[in-house]
Amino acid sequence: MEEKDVKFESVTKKFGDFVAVDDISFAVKKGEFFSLLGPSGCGKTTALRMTAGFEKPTTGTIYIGGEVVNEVPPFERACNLFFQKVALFPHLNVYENIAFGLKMQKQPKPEIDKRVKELLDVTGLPGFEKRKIKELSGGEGQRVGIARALARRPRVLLLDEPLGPLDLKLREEMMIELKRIQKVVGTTFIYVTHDQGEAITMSDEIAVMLKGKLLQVGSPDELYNKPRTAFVAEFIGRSNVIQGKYHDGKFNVDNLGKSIITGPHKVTDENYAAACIKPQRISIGENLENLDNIFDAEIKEAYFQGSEVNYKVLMGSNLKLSIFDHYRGKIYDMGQKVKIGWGREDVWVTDG
Amino acid sequence: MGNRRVKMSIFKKIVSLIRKREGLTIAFQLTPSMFWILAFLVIPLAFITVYSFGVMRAGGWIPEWGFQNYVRLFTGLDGMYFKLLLRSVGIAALVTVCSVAIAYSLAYFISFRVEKYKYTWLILLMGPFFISWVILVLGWRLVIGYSGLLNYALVQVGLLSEPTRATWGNWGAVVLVLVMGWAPWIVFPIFVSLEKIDKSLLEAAADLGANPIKRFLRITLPLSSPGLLVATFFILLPIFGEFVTPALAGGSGGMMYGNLIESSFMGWPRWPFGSAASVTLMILALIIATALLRVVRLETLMESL
Repeated sequence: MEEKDVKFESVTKKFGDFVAVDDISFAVKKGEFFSLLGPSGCGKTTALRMTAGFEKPTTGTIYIGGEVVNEVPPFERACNLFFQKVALFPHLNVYENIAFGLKMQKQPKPEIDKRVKELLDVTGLPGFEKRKIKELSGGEGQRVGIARALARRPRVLLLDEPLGPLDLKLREEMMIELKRIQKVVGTTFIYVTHDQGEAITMSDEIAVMLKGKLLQVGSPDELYNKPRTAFVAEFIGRSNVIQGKYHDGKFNVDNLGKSIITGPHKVTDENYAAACIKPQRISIGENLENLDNIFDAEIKEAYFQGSEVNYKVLMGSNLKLSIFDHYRGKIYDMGQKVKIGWGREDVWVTDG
Repeated sequence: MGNRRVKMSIFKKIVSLIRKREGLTIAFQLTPSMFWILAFLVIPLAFITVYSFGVMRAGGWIPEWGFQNYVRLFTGLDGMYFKLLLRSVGIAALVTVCSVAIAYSLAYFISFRVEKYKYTWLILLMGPFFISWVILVLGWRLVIGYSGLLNYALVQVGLLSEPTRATWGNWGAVVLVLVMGWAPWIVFPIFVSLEKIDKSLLEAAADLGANPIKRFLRITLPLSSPGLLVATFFILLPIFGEFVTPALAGGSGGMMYGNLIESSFMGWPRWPFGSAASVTLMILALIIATALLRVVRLETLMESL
């Protein structure tokens, strides 16, 4: 059996009448980069704070390294939290910040010195020991925060939207950096984010949450290509989601005139199904003869984005689809009638 | 008309001159306050300093200048004056320590434990400041004085056979009244610096293995030290010169340096002696203020408030 570092067993957390986390279960393997992904208010931060010990689950059990930790206070848990606001101690310098947790463990000074130096090397900040917190840039502050959280060699490092305050370029840099650090130190990371790009780039496993419920856990690839709900399809794959009825390789939508041809799929209720089609899988214009599905559509909006053109089209009377088309030297005009099409393998049918 | 135009152009010239010269503008803006400080602080202080080196007898000044007043302050009456100075420093220090301790715990409670109505708590703390200080001191006398409530209760219960004089008219009473009067006042600076502490820092410390006591000693206390210092300033320096409270509550054993200064300027022509005492107190206050500012620089102090 594979070793599990963190396990949630039907964990529920209520704040008064509000159910922040609703009966979720998942397990995180050792050394894994695991993301909790969902829009704000989905309960992902609460789940993380319960793992760290700042909140107690109302019902259910949380295990860290095989032990039940429901009643263990934060300062005795084998996990450390990297704070959304970084929360570096402003009255201490970089060395003292990183050494804080080690001093709490009463480690001898030479060992602390060695560990701090090691961590500054890993995080790419050699020689930063004496710097003041005020003098650090956003990215440097983040690295110090990570070094501080890793200092005590936690079994699990919890990260709460760490890249939120950074600008786009720095965020992309830090994503790669975080993944690199995680590989070097081999610590299990649980990462909370609302940004599907971050989650897909870094994670080994992603748990998608919505309104306190866990929708799906899987690898980025699985979530992207085989979403189990319409929400996951939209959120991860940015898919066009069409609600309708599914039966035996045919997907029927009201007022569309004909069925959408699909491959064989499994749904819970055939009357409430959703067809998901990725914007980049829809072809537009010519050479559509060999596609299973061809429909008439009208261009409503067109955005030129360099290598791609992003169209919003109207299909049938009320279906709005998003299409990413390669730029081939011409852009369809707004209001232009076009043909669009896709193959049966491009449609993923799931629960609506 | 021509005259007026000339006047206008002169006025405009002055204005443009002031606009161009930033230094001049600043001097212009500072004039009222500089006048105030000069007229009511610097000049009187200069007078006092000059006085402190002189001698005055009934009838007028005697042209004798020297350090005789200071010599008397430090050696006169078998060192009684000097002992009085030491006692004043001791009382001020004790009052400061007690007030800061009480105020800190109050501020901590309001900032960390009270969730709703924080500011109502603070406004309630301002209660004592709506009452004159003299009334406040006499109020305490009604509670702990010879014929006060405490004595009455103790006698009625039978713990004492007759009222005690130990609770009033000594330095202990002075300390008690000053602490009770000042502690609410310095809750404010301490509260402000506690409120400014990002609570996620405490969570971070907890996450890194610090128990509640270590969190307080290593995070909360150092980060609220500017507030503590401001509180110390607020209270220590004014109490050096305190004379109302010791006069009302101190009796002969609770006298402070302020009483010496006050009595020197009243009745007897001992102004030079009183001046020397004032200058001594002022220099002492300056030394203490400088020492405190050495601990925390003024900029960091202002930044963190």
